[in-house]
Parts: sequence; structure tokens; C-alpha cells
Amino acid sequence: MTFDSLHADTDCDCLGEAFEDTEQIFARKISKPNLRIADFYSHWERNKKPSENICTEICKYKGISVNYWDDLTQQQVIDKYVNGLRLIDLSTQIVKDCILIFRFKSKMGSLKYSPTKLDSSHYTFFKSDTFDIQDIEIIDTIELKDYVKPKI
Amino acid sequence: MLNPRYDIVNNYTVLHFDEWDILFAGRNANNEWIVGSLAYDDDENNVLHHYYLVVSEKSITHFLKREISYRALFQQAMTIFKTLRDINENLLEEQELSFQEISKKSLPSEKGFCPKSDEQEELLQRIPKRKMTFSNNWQVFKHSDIIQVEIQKKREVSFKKIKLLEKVLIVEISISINDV
Repeated sequence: MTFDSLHADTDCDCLGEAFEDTEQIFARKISKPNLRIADFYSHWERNKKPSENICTEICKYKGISVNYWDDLTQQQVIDKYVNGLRLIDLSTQIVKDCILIFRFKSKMGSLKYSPTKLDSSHYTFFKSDTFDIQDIEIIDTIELKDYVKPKI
Repeated sequence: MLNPRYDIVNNYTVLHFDEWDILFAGRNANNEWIVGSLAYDDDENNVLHHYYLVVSEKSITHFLKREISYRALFQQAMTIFKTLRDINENLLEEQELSFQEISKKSLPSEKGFCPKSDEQEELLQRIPKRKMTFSNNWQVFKHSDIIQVEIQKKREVSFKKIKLLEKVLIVEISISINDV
């Protein structure tokens, strides 16, 4: 597995302690029920650059947030996304948001455990050069609209 | 270029994060409290829509204590701004709105409250504690009926015999009335 694209414009090594995992199940919020390439774009790929030119920030912007998904973590993950959605604009387009439940296939990329105080199951995923959205093994898609439907 | 009316320049605190600062608060250049949120990350056009609410100290306190929802904070806001920024958060458009001008379908959920976190607690500590006043503290109102009854009952009795707590509240109320 190669990461030439990830490291093309930086000297930072973002892959220290990163590993491949094709067994465990992960979750990520996506904007529409049908998975799009844009759902797996990093900030860096969207041309957003960190305010500080340091490796921790650069690697954070080059990675993609996912959460480990099992019986113990799934409620915390749902709460994170639902709490966020309840705070934002609830126009029709927004409530198409879903949680994609999936597995990575071989050679898609590497994961680094990157928990925060409020998000203990958080991982950062770095795409390999051969990453393709079609290779994601979709297990389920949970629509979030019922959690945040406004009472009008 | 920062807008002194809504851009946060002091006490910037992220209250909810998910790849972006979803909910945040702090003070603008005029030292007013601002609560902002990412309304919509438009990944097709690579732009970000934000709301900024200019709110009173009382409103932000109730919001941080989770006594009112984010939707209620919109209603209480003194001014509401909606902005459009590029992916690196450079301002493209801004709009000043009244609560009535925002479509109900676009408002946050009534179930949306400030998430509990250390950051929320720390920001709450930074808001100066105001002395209870007749007009803004329901605790005083709660006790005022009791005090009135006690005053009636004890009209013939010396002030010294009224309980200490009641004395404090009577003094609070009389100060507040005098302030009005």
C-alpha cells in the first residue's frame, strides 16, 4: 500500500502508528443517503489549509474522521451526530444526513486512533493511492432526519 | 477583515466539534457575547454557511446552563447575522436578519441544547456573576410572596425577629426596586 498522494505536498509523516483494519466496523456522517466521493474528502482535498503550518495540524487536515462502531460506542456516535444536527440549519437538504456504517477493504488506507475527551471512539483515516469509494463495504445507512425533525 | 459586530475576538470557545466548529461562543470587539454555529457545510460549492447571534449576558448564561434551547436563543438574540464563507473561512457574503425573517424550517431543533463539556463549564465561569435583581431573578420572585406574607404577619413584630434569609431577600428587593 502506497501513500504518495498523501505525502506529495508535505514532509510530515502522517502515518506513524497507523494501521490497516478490514475487520472492524466504522461509522461516518454523510450528507445524502447515496454515498458520494465528496463524503470522503479531507479538509486538505477541499483545499482548506490549517492556520498553523505544523505536522499535527497538517495531518489532521489530511485525514478523515471516522468512529469505531460496536454495541458500546454506537450510542455515543449517534449522540455526537444528532447533537450537532440539532444545532444547525434544518432546511430540507440538511436532514438528508445519514450515518454510514461500513468496513474498509484491503489496501484502502490506514487508521490512527485519535480520541478526544468527548469522542473516545474517534479514528483518523488516511487514504492510500488506490482508495476508491466503490470499495467501501456498506453495512447500513442510518437516516438522521427522524432524530432532528423540527416541530412546526 | 473582521466584522466588529459578530466576529469573535475574545474568549473563543468551541462548544461542539465534528470536523468543523459546529457551535462556538465568545465576545466580539464591542465586548458583546456572540454564539455562532455552522448552519451548513456545502461540500458541492465548497462554502460554509454560519449564523452569529448577538445575545445578552442573561441569555448566554441560560443557554450554557442548558435552561433554554439554541432555537430559543435565536428568539432572544438582539441581532442575527448569516454569513457565507469560502472553505478557508474568508467572508463572501453577510446578511443581518431578524428572527421573523428566518424560515421556521431553517431554525435549529427545539431539542438542540448546548452540549455538556468542560469548555461549556469554563465559559460559564467567565461570565460575570450578576447580583440578583427584582426583574431578572425568579428566585426572588419565588420568595417574594413568602416575604409579603411574613411582612403582613409580622407587621407588629420587630424586624429583628424575621429570619436572616428573609431579611437578605427583603433588602435585595428593596435595592432592586430603588434601582428601577
